[in-house]
Amino acid sequence: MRSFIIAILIILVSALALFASIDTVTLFTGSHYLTDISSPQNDIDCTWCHSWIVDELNHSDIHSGFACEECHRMTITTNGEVIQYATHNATGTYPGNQSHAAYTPTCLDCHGGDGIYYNDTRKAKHAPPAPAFNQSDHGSNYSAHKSLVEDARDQGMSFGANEACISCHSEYTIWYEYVRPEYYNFTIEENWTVNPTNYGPDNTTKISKLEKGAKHELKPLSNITCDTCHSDVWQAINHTEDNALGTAPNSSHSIWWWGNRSDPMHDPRYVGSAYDNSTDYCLSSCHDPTVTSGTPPQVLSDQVHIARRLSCYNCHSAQTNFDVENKPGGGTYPEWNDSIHQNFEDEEKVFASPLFLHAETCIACKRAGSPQPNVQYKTWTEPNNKMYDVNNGSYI
Amino acid sequence: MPLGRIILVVTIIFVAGLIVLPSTVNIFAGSHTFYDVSGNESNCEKCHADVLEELKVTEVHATVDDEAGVSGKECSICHRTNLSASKGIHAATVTSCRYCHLNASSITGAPLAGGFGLSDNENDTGTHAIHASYVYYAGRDDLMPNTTEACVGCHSNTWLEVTLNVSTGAKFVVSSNYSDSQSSFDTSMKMSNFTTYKEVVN
Repeated sequence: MRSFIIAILIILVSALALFASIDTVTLFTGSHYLTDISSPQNDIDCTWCHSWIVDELNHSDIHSGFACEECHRMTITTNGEVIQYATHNATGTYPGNQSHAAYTPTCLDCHGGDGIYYNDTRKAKHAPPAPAFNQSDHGSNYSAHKSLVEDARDQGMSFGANEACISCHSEYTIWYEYVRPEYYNFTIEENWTVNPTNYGPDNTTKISKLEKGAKHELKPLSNITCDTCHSDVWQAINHTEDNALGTAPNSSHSIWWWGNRSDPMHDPRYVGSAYDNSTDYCLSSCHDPTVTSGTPPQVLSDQVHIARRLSCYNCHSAQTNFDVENKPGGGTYPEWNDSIHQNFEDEEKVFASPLFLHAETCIACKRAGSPQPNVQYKTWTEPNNKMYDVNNGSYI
Repeated sequence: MPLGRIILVVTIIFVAGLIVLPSTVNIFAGSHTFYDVSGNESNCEKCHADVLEELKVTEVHATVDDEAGVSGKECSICHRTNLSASKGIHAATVTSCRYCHLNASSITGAPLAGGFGLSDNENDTGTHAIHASYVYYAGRDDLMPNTTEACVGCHSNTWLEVTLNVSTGAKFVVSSNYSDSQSSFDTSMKMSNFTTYKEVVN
């Protein structure tokens, strides 16, 4: 009975209190509880809203020791741009100018120029400069990937040329669609000039660089391989079987024997032995050979970012006066028979034609048995290694 | 004395009191006791005690009235600052952070929240503000005035659920660009493969 009365009294008092109270609410509970941001460290933790990036950085080979602020509150870039953030510390309160809380840097903000940047605490730090791309206008036109960097810079997908950087250097997934003419139809005239006859319709080759999708997870440099993005080119090269005429390997984009001549330098069968991997093969045999003596042309002496944009005739010409490292152990001098080739490597001959035809002229001729011009060939583009001798009406 | 008799006595006294008492009531007890508002004092905490409790545990804004401790005077500094904001304001404004923190001439002398290009500081360009879109869309939302949602989201202890759609891949179309004498590649880029990350901040 007593407990019943007590219960009744509690209910009555509660009802009275509810009736008497005012129906006010705060829109957001906690909205008047403001964070004190005056301490030296970051009082509004980036990871409260960006926690997945912590996981990416923890798995990254590079930058994993950085706090968010190292990049995203950098104060002076390598090209001297100052970024002033809103700051409240022991010395006072400073309004932001260029940014309030954080900034999306371009990779070249640290890896451009001389690599000296100032981090969030205004401490000078050094980042390894991106070779060639750290220069004004991104360096030499002989860098094979310079156009990728320029296109990335000119498009708004990300800041600066970041798209180009993260496409190779991070675990960001890229779906490539290479659109090329399906084939090239060209003639080498009697006077050794190259005459493109026609090109085939656009042909699209799709290559997927499938990764974790993590932009902040950076790869070790050794994990960046040519054939990840250029597997179609590797597919065209990696034909070690004889061609239809038995005159050369059935490959395109590269050739290493023809007739009774051979040189192992361009032989993909040395991948895994003389060449550590396919990337070593691509660079050492062609796209960045090591010049060991002599005076190389600008295409081989300019600083580039890893790979060079060149063709057979940049090494093999009458003007060649340098030696290169031949890892499989063959000759070190890029051979060239000028009497046979009739100054083919001159500016008004093969170099007057588009770059994508240069290797085609070299390889098609050898696969056809090295006939003298006038010759006409139809060659299919990567990943296809097919070639056709139009004059003789046969595949070569 | 048995309980029944106690209840009976109490009931009799109660009924007698009801009969004897005059039949007048006040709708609200205390409604004729008026506060003196001539000194610009407020009594906000009467209804908004929860807000006062929040101010008591934060150093920021607790001393906007230049006095130590939290007394309730702090409310006026923010909520009675911009009385010209709109018509018909009686007691308080629904204030926006920008009235003080984006206004260099604010009477409160509040630190400027520069870096978004929104303050009247001529050096405030906000050209590199990574959270600019967050602030911009907060400004377009009607839930709170101006960009206040963005400010409260980062700078206060409000429970927050953030959903971010993050691109984890892109499509690069690499097209051969050629003429009779030149060839090169042009690349167009488009983000794709968006992954949703949900962050709860409490």
